[in-house]
Amino acid sequence: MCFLCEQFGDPKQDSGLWYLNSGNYARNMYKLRAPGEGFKGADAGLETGARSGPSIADLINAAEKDDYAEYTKIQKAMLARGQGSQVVPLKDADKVLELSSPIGLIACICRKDARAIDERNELEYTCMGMGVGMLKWERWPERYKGGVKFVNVDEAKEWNHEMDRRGFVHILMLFGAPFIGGFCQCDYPDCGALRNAVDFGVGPIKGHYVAVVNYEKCNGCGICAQRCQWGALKFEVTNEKANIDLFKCYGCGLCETGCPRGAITLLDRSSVPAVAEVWR
Amino acid sequence: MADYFVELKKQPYPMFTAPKPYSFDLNEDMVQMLRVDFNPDKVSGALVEAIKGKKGDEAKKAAETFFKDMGVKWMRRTIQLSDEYPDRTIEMVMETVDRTGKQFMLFPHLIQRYVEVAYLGTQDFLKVPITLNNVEVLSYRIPKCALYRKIGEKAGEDFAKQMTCKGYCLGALATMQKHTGVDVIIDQPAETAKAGYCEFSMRKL
Repeated sequence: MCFLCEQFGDPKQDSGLWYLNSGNYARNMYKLRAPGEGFKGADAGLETGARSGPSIADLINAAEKDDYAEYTKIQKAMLARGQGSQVVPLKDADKVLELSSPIGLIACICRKDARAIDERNELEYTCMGMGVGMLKWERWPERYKGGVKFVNVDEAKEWNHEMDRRGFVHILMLFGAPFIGGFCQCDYPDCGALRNAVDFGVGPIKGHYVAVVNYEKCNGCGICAQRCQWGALKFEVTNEKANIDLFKCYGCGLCETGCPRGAITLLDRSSVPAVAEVWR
Repeated sequence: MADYFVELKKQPYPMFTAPKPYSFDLNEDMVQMLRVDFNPDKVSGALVEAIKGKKGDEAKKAAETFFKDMGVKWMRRTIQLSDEYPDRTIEMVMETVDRTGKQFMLFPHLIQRYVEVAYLGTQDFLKVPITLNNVEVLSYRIPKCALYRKIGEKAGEDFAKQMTCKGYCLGALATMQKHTGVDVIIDQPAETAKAGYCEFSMRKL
């Protein structure tokens, strides 16, 4: 069980997975401010807490100086404060979308940062905001420059399946724990969360699954290797089959949904002792 | 090239300007108006008048009738004020419904707004503890209910523990259901006398 499930999961609901606890998607629309009340800042929760203290920039600076000791120290500090995000495969993503309202399709802020790409309409959006906070998106007009397209559950699922087909990893984000407010569609290296995980080992935690290949069915087409964003999947030259490094696998399931022969399946991480507690 | 950037920086950044100053929060005057009419002190005072001279079952029945009627009035006033004083948050819901013709935003968000206005205007807390809000169910809790406390002070703890006041909240929710036309099953899984808080849920049919 991951630390997010330990903190925010409900054992009575869906094996205690934190992101299938419907209470984690609930939030009030309004609040009255007490006289003199200010913003909570980093105390508001994991997501905002992650913004305080050392950052990726500090890691890069340490790496540039070849200061391994400093690099490890910063990395440990970042991991200790927790990262409020986790990789979720498509089969769980469908369940997630039934638990939140409203759901809004929005522009991706990471791609704007990394590629200077402005996604200006619903055909271009590659991110998803969830919860009543989305009703107030006009508070941040520069963030939501292309607007927000509100969709119902079926439309959200259809859109998410299309994102999966295109090869995006689904990552759930906490926005003031335990509230889940974002469902990012990520790829390397555009996405900040995914890049942090692959390059610096401090991004979202791994999902609750690992992918395994059925060698009887695999014909070595290599489609899965193209879809893996984590560097966990390679084409094995010796036997001309796909090979998955379970220690690198994040359980996103892109290889499974992309395999034309159904040769890859997702196993429950807890059923594989070697990686049962490998979350980073 | 350097001049180009110098000139560029002199130009104002094309910030989006909202057509009017939006307010996403509840109108404070509206909240105060609701508080004047339905503050727990006033409602519990009226209850005491309604059960004056009555005892036992007679008092209980009188209280139930009183709360049922009062709950209807409370929610009617809440809906009236909510609709008279909209904010940008609920406008976003209604605009989406109007634009898409789809009703999926009405439940839970229109109903959630009425619930939040009703309780923020009459209780002591600053936000309503919403426990679930998705397309199937809306549920919320009322911890340390100010009305329950006032009933205990004015009519006695034993009378408060009979929970005749639940008709107030349930009557209000039924009124809201009738007004919005959204088919929901209203339930009260927990009540203050036993659990220390009241919980209400509305499950969409």
